[in-house]
Amino acid sequence: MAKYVFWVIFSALLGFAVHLAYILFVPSQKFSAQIDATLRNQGTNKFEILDAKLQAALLPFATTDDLVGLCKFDVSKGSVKLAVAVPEGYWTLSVYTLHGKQVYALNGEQADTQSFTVTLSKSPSLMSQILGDDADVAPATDGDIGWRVGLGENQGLAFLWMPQSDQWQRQEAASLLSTSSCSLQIADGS
Amino acid sequence: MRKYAVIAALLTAGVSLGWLSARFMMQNAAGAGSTTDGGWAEITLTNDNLRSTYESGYYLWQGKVPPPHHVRLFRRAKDDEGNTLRGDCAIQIEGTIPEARWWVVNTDGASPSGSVSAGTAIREANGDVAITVSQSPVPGNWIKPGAASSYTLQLVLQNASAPTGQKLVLPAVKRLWC
Repeated sequence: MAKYVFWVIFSALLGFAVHLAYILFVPSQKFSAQIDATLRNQGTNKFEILDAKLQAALLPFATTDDLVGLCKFDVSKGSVKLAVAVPEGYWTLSVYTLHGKQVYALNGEQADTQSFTVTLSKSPSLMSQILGDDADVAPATDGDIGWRVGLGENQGLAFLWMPQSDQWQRQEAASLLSTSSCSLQIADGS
Repeated sequence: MRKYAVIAALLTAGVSLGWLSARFMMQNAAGAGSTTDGGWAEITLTNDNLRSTYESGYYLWQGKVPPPHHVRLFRRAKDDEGNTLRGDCAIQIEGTIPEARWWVVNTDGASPSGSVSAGTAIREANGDVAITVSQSPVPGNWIKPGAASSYTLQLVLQNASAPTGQKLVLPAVKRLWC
């Protein structure tokens, strides 16, 4: 039996490595593939109000009455500027990478304004890009009321969520939120 | 020859156990939660601890966006007496919802369910809420669970007054009938 001790320890270590690799990589890869399939009709760098059923399926904390705007962004070719106009009331903006990691959040109380911009760009920090760390955040510098967010990954999802009490309120709020935009800003030197 | 067969069996067992334990822990992480308050388990998602990796993995695996960090999310799969929450039984959630900027109660199952939120809830005179979860409609606050035989109840607090980690008194969950 002693001759198998090495292989027993080796198998245990192999099992541990498989466990860690699975937890760290498989769910995020699966999420990325599923999101690509689910949001295949959503344009990139375009702000859209999500269908009520889709938002409830995508966000475990949202209901079909809530209002959710989405920008599926890609900062590989330059910065993406999110110009948001929100009705009065509580809202949150959450930015996720395409692998499901939340990197930035803002809510109505922090912003204290109903019209603001968030400029998303690739983080200049090499470590952030390698580790996919939380975003580097700074105030906007182009005269807008808003923030600049440096990201570790090129692609991601920005959700603007507003709770609503019913479908009538949802429609009212949607008419203002739909004036928001998400657009590619800076060409990549070429 | 026998030696190689034993080694192959050991390696296969190692890989299988690693894979199965990862799947099991991920599936159960969002039910186990970080802390429990009277049967409710809190899911705390941050980017800097291993438990969060399992908890967010639960959502990512289903193609769902993990709840944002400012959300306090509580889940439970059993009532106060320890019975599994089943779609063919009726339960009542009753008590005070902790102070938060917004809250919603819904179910997390195979199919979408209804919900009761801060904007739609009918409250008692003292501010408490009573919500019935059942297949057939009842007067007052009512949630129809998904068609699944069992489900998990969720209480989502957006920007709760009490910070993450602080113990909260959460509503009771009682079985009414089956």
